[in-house]
Parts: sequence; structure tokens; C-alpha cells
Amino acid sequence: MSRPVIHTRWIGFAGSAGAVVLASLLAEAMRQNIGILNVSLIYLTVVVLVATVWGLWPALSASLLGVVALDLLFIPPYGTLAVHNPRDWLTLLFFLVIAALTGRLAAGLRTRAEESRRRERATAVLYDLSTALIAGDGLSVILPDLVRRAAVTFGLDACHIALPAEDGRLRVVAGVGPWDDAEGRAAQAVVQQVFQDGRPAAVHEPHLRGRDWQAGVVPLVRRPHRSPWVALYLPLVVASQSVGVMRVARSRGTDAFEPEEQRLLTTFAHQAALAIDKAHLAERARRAATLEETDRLKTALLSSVSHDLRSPLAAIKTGVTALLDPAADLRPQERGELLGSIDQETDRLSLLVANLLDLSRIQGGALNPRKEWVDLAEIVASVVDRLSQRLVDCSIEVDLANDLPLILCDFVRIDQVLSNMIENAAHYAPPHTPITVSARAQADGVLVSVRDRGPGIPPEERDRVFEPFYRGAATERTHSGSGLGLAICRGIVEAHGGWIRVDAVAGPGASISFFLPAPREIGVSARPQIGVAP
Amino acid sequence: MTHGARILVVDDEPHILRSLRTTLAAHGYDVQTAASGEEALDIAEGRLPDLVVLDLVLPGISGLQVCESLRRRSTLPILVLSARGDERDKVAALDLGADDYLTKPFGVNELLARVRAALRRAAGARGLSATVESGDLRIDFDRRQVTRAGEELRLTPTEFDLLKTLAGHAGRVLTHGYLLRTVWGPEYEQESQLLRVFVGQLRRKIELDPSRPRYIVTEPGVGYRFRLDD
Repeated sequence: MSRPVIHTRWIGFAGSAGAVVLASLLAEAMRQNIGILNVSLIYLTVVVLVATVWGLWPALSASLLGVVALDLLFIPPYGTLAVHNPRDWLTLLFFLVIAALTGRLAAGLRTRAEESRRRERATAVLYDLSTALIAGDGLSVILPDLVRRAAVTFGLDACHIALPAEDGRLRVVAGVGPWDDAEGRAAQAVVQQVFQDGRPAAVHEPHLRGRDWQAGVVPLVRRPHRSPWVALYLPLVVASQSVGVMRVARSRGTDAFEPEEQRLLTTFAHQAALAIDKAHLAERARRAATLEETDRLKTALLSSVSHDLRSPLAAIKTGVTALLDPAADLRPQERGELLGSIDQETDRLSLLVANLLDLSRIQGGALNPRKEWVDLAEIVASVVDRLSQRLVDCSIEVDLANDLPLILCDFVRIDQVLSNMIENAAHYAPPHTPITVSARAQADGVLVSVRDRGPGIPPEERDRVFEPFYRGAATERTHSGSGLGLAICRGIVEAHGGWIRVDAVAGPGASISFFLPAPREIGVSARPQIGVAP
Repeated sequence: MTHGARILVVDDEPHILRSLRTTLAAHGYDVQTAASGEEALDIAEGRLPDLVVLDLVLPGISGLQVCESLRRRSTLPILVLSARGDERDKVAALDLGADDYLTKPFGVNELLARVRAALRRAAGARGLSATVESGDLRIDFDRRQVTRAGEELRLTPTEFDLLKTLAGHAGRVLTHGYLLRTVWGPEYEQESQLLRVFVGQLRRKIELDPSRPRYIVTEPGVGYRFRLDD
């Protein structure tokens, strides 16, 4: 698209002058062979050519120059503008009228041809754009693409799209070229204003006010003295709702944006608005789907858990009412047994409630690990110490590498992961077989594994064991666990940016490993002595 | 003076209040109860109890505020109760001067053990001793000397200061923040990796089996405690 800067018009005028001079030289050379009529035809041809190439005003100037040259060179007395013969007056007058009319017609044709070319080009650009938008990429792909296309198509030095962040402040999400303050007034402030008003704004020379975008509607921002920038701020509006703002700017040239360009830019802005709206809709649909999934899980949770919740409650109720029964003549040993089972069932119930709360935190994305620098050996020691007292039937073996880095994690949560894994192993493992906890440093983190000598986990169940409420066939018959332990492990490990999996192992038993990343800067070599004096 | 000691129990849950009162009274303590922070402060206004068992979640003024207010007036032992997962609250309470914490739900045996330990510490704190002994470990504060089974252990100055801080408050939970402030200085309060590394080093020197520490016990998410052998 032609850049409507003023120097192109000067080229037109200079060109028209040059063309007239050339025509004069040609006519002068053939002076002896042709009459005045043919000479004027040469000048007329020049006017038509100028009109076709540079448009109306250079053509009119060529007409005037042609009259002057005709008079000077071919109408006696030669060399002066004076005209003695009234017939020559008529010749000059007719020439001027015909030249002007022909020039206008030719220029009109040129404008129409140019307009249709421009329209064709614009249609092509918009078609490309809408095809790109329909492709269904995310905003992070669409907007930079759109900004780039706009910059190329309109010869822009800067083009930006700003969208409202959560705090209502608009932030640039895609852009090329300089953003702020090219106009002397922070672009941010103008953008904010345009977003609120839903009306475009322009920044350029005050004397161009008349050629404004829908004159009178645009809040004009005065361009500071000597700033080479002109800019246009277009609100991105869908269903009379602002979704963002597009800013386009040029640093060279002194002209504002042509009305035709403004129209086309508005169409661009509209496409951008539609793309943003579409992305918002998709986001909303995604959220709805997540909610639905959560809902489905809650239903599963309710049906699966109601039994687990009720059975310890029933046991407690039975035990307590038996103890309260005045008619029952209980021996001390029987009382002790009843109380013991109430104690056990209470623990079971509180563990289940705690697990359910954790699971809902994980699924609601509200786990928020409280990360601090932690020595993994310390977690292992703490867990093994606690579980050794509880799981008397198992022997827990510890095998830690000496070069374990410190890792940034939530001590209590990773403690919970390891406890769940060991308890899980203890459920499967035959009594008095060893459970091995090992930890190894890796290039970018730590790998912790718990290995038992139980029946193992069949390959087809390896992924499913981490699903909530999933219980392996082997555990169905026992009352242990709620099927939540490993699901919680996965939630916690993933909230730390790590992963957990069932390993394929040779020999009997199962091995489950989790990986936690160690930030490279500090974590990797924690074991060496840090020489900090108190 | 553990028996007959006056204990103030503050909890807004009437059933818990009733069973704690019954249990503690059955073990010979003189028990008063309060269902809110305001009531607790009123009671303490009259005559200070020997120990306070304080739930952190209370209607009206919070348990943390009660803790702070009591600590301004007295050094009496404060034992806070909090829900599982509220490590932040525990740390805040300990930093405000609470002596120990228990996570709900807890067994009565555990409560009684903590109460006895806190009362014993409060009684012992009156005379500051120059040495601390636990098992075969002996720490001499004045001579900056640590021996295990009579054999002297070589500690760096920082390691000794860390051990001294822990052992000087033997039996009490010290938060990470407190240890870093005390041993390294206030500007190191957030440098938890420093603490992890030095605790690891110290354990390798003083513990018989560093992978199963006996003396320096980890309180997950909260801090460390120096355990005295009973």
C-alpha cells in the first residue's frame, strides 16, 4: 500500500515539470515539421501520462506548465508570455480546458484502478488473516502473527496489542517496535483511556485534525513538538464490550493515517477482537469441562468413600454403646479390647478424613507446597524412625547416596509422600521381608525409590495405581487403605514439578520411584561444607 | 511440682474441654477451663496458672494473640494445639513464645507427656546449668567442649553455637527462623539451606547413627528439638 507521505506528492510535481521540459525539447526538435496543433497534442499526451502516474494535482500542474511552455516557445512573440493574436488566446484557452479535463479523467481512472487494487490487496490480507485466526491456535500464536501482518501490510514502525490483566491494567501481549512514550505521553495512559471509552484515539499534528478518523469523535492527543511519531489507538470491541486495544504507529513521515488505511486497520482490529473473544470462550469452556470433571470425581468420591467413612463410625458407635450399657457386665480385658478397637477405628477415620481433604486440595489446585531447602536424608530419617515403630512386621532398609543435593520442597508433604509409599509397600509385602528406601542424585534432581518383596504390580495396573480410589486386585480383600495414598503422592510430587511412577523391576516385588527437580544454582552441591562464619 | 500444678485449658470445643479436664484432673492437676481467648486472659489476670494448654483456633481473639499477651506477662509454659497441616500457625505460635505444640487429633498419653516435660523444664529453668547431658553426650557450655562417652568431639565454632542453642533449650522445639537468627544473625533468617547443611554436619559428628538421629530431632516443617534421654 502506498505510503501517503508528503514527499511522494513533491515527486509528482517535480515529475510533471520534468515531463513538460522533455516534451518541450521534443517539440522544439521537430519544430520545422509539425504545426501548433500537433505540438499541443504532445503536451496533452504528457498531461495524460502524468495523470496516470501521479494523479490529479501533478496533472493539473502539467497542464498549466504546458500552457506556459506553449506560449513561450510556439506562440509569437516567442520568449515572452505576451500574446497578441486573439486566435492564439483561444488556442491556449482550449488547450488548458482540454488538458485539465483529460488530466482529471485520466487521474480518476488511475484512482479507481488504484482503489480496486488496494481493495483486492486488503481482501487478500484479511482473508489470510481470518484463515490464520480460524486455524484455532492460542492467542500466544495468533496475536504476534496478527501484529506482524499489520506491520508489514501498513508499513508500520510499531504495532502492539494490549489486553487487560486481572488487575484491570492493560498489558502488552504482542507487539513489534517501540511501545512507550514515542508520543511524549505514556502510551499506557492513552491505551487505558481508549479501552474505557471504546473509541479510537489518534496522535499526530494538530493541523491534520480535519482529516481525522470520523472527525470530532476522536479524542486527539497532541503530538509533542519535533516528535516524528504518529499513532492510532483502536479499541478491540466485541458486542460493544472492549476486550483490548491495538496501537499502530509510524515514526517517519509527517502525515496521519489515510481514511482508507484507518478503515482497513479497523477491520484488522475487529479480527483481533474476534480472535480474543474466541480464546476467552474457549478458556471458559475449558473451565466448565474442569468443573464437570471435578464434579464427576466428587460423585465417585462420595460413593467410594461412604463405605469407608461409615464402617469405622459403626465400629466406634458399637464399642462405645457397649461400654455405656449398664446391664453389660464387662471384664477389664473385654473393656480394654473394646477401647482398643475404638482407638484404632478413630485413627483410621482421621487418616481417611485427612486424605480426603488433601485430595480435594490437590484437585482444586490448592496444595501450595511450602518450599524450603531440605536435606532428603533428613526426611528419610524422620519417616523411617516414625514408621519403624508402627510397622513392626517390616524391616525398613535405607540406602542413600552420599552426594544428594539439597532440594527445595515442602518437608511435611514429601514426608507424607514417602510415608504413603512405605505404608503402601508394607500392605503388599509379606511379613518380615525387607522394604528398601533408596535415593540417588541425578543430573537435575533426586530420584527416591521404595522397593518391596511383595507380589508386584502387573504392567497394566502401573498407571492406574495413581488414580484416586483405585485399589489393586490384591488389596481388594483387605480393609487397608482408601485407595487415596498413591493418588495423593502423585498430586504432591507433581505440585513440586516432579513425577512418580511404578518401575519395571527384575525379580519379585514392586518398586515405586519419584523424582524431584533440584534448582541448579544452589541445590546441586549441598553436602560440601559451606564456610559461613557466624 | 508437677502434681497439683494449676493448668488452664483453652478450647472452644466443649467436648474436648470436658475430656481434657477429666483426664488432667484424674492425674492430679488442678484444672481451669476457658472457652474463649477473652475468658482465658480474664482468668490469667486473676492468678497466673502454672501451664496453659491453648487451642490456636478460637472465636474472638485468636490463640496467637492470647499466646503473645500471656508471654508479655510471664514465662509460664504454653502448649498450643493446632490442626494437621497448619505448620505456619505452629511456627508463628512458637515464635511468639509458645513452648511446644500438639497436633489434633492427639492421644491423652501424648498430652500428659508434653505437660510433664514442660512443667519439668519450667522448674529446671530457674537454675541455669553450665552443662547438659543426654545419654553419653555431655556438653560443657563454659569450656565449649563436647564429649561422647568421654571422648572429645571436634566441632567448628558454628556447629558448637548451633548445638549450644539447641541443648540450651533442651526438650523445646526451636523454629528454623529462631535458630538462624540466634546462631547466624537476623539477616540469615531465610537461609534454611544453611541450617540443613549444618544440622547434617553436626549429626554426623555427635550422633551414633546419623541416619537415625537420637539427640537432634527433626520436627517436620517446624524446626528442631534437642532430646534429653529420660
